[in-house]
Amino acid sequence: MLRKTFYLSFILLVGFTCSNANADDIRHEIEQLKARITELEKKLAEDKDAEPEAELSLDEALDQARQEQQPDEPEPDEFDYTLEETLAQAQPEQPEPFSPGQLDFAAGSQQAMWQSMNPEISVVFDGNFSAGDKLEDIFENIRGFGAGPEFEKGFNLRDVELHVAADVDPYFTAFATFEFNEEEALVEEAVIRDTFLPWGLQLQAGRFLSNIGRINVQHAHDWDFVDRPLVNRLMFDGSLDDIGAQLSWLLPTEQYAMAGIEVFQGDNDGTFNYIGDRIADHSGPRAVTGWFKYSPDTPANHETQFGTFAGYGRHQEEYDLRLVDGYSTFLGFDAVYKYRRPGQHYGHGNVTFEGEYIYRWQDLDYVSARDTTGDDFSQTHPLVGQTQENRQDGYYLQGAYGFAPRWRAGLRWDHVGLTNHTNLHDGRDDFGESYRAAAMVDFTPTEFSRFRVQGGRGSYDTYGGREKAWDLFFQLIVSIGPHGAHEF
Amino acid sequence: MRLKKLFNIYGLTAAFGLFAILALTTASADASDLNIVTTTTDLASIAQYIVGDKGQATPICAGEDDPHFLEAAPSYVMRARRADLWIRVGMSLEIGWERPVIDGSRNRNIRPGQPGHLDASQNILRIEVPTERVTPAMGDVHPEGNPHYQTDPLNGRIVAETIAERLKRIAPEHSQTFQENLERFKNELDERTFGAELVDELGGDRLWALVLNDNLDSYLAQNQLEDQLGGWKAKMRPHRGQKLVTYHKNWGYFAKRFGLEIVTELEPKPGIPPSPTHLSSVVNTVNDQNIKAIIMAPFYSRRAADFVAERTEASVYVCPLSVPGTEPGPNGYFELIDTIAQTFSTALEG
Repeated sequence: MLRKTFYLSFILLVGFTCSNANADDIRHEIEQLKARITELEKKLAEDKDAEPEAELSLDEALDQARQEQQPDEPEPDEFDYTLEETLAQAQPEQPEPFSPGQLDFAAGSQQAMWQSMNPEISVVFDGNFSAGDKLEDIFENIRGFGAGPEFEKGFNLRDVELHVAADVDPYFTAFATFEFNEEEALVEEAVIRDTFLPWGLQLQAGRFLSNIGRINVQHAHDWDFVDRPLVNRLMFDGSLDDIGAQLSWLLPTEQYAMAGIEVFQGDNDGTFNYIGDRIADHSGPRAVTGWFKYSPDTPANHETQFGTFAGYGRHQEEYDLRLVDGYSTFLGFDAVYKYRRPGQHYGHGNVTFEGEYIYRWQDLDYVSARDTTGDDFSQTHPLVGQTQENRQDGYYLQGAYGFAPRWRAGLRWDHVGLTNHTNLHDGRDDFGESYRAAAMVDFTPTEFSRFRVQGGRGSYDTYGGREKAWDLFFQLIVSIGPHGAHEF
Repeated sequence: MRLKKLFNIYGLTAAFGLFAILALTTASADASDLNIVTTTTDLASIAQYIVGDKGQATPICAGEDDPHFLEAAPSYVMRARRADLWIRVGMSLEIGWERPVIDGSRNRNIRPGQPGHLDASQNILRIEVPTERVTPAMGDVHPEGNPHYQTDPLNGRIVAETIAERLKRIAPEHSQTFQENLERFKNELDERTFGAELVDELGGDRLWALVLNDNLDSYLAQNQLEDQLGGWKAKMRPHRGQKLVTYHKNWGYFAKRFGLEIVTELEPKPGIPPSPTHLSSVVNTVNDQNIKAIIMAPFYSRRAADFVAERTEASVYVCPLSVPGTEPGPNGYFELIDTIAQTFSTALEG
């Protein structure tokens, strides 16, 4: 207002000083001044308009910024997609303020929040090309043990694994793994696990991989080598997995210590084999295992864990001339050491060592026998009541080193049959040792894919005498869908 | 015979277990202290400032490490099991290891959805939120946006508010302390951002509001306050509009806040290591646009950055992305932003 008065008085002053000049000139000058005043007034108004914007409180400004940030970004040149594509997308929803009970591990925005209502689904393809002499039959013929072949020569699709996981409600979480291979579809795991028990306890039930040792509970695509270590393979003919329940307890100690007990129906080839009425009926549960894992305090970036485990359960076996029924017992130890090189990326410089030792007893009674394969089994055969005692053990040691970002190299030593004999009615059979060395190199472009080359050479004590064999694998593992976190 | 053997095995295991309990059980920390476990050192530093003498905040991940690539480990489980409050960066940064750690800890209080689980990203200002469906073919793009938000001091301020609010809920008896600590934190952060004089004159809230409305400069010019601007804002002012290259999309928040322009990354896509083809295109970009600085976090290999530096006039600067070490003090976060501002300003002057 003051400024306007000033301009007007200025005009009047100009008018007076120019009163003796040409009237046209004066009119012209007045026109010019009028224009100038309008211009200045406009400017003033603009200034006034600008001021309230600066008066926004921080909260208002923050809200405004949150509203604006989403459509404005990403800047098109910072992502790989084009501006047109970006603009074509509808404006995403605002992240909502925190509301307890709706967030889960993956959530961070509303979008992720509603996605998390659906189970997390991922599929893993694990295939390989295998070569080697005697690849297909050597493991069945190892004396004192016996397990089916893991791979055929040539192309193998070990499995296509479908993994589904979700929180059931505030009290339970559940996951299932379906394994599709060339012949069949299997429920590898279907687990319901509590999230509410106090005092460090946890209960789970369903079909699951026993938590004994190291390798058993891991899925094949998480291993550091293509195939399962010899000892686990021969003792359990694959993994020890069964229907049952597990109770585990994280001990209230300063250092990590976890104990667990598992009760299984007891139907697992190799150690807890069950045939049933052809031999003898036994109702379940027929097997129990227990384990204890302990992890001492170590300097940062070093992790160590020691474990011991045992199992006991019914075991039945059908041989050419006898049917046996009895118990298997095993005791084992495991250890793992991991070093994560600080300040590195993509696993460069990381080191892992691990090993397991397993000793297995089998005390079995002859329940039926026959003299030749042409006869029928008879429960009154003179040999019935005799016993068979099997004693076997084995271990593996392996290590892997990240020699470059995303590249690892590893070595594994397998050794079984340090103890390896069977006491039968007609005397003791002593069997020999078998061992194998393997080397691998793998490349992990992203957490979703991995390529591996592995070669091995073994010397096996078989029914046909000592046999040496080599094997070679090219493996490709690919996973699609959200990739779950890895256990230790 | 069999029973005896069985007894031996389980007896042995049980004895070992019992021994472990006896040997390892020691008195736990003072129960009245709040035990805060954070995934990163930045969060630990801010949380320590807010909790003050009412508790301790410890990080899982050391400042030099990439929180993306941790693996769940028993020692993390042990830290989580005793936590009253678990604070994560969020935005899927810890997706590869958070779940097994929390599940393994059997600590019901810090499960997502519980008051003891806090996602620090919930109120922050986000950038690079994808506007289309994210697929792994894009590289490691997080659906929630760029998770490296700690380099924007305003986000640090918002996180401090978020943490204070949660602490008040968990330990209402200390509400006043947390509020006082929060006020001190904000004041210190504001002074370091704008300079003490300007904060005295205008107040931190007013200054940030001006920043968010993008007219701090015009306001200061109009009121002849330009000379009073201090702190990080003053330090970075001469570099506004300058261009630089980074290794990964780690520095977008800092660049946006201080008006710098990140032209490209050495990574062809987030999380995908540099390829020769991509690096040669980066070399061309750096030469064409006369860029002087390549900035990278300490956990990446220098090789790619050196490759570009040798073929251009740019120099490589390694800059901490998080508070270094494993024991960040309450001032760690301020010192981090100090270091970042110093590194960027040196890099852009050079």
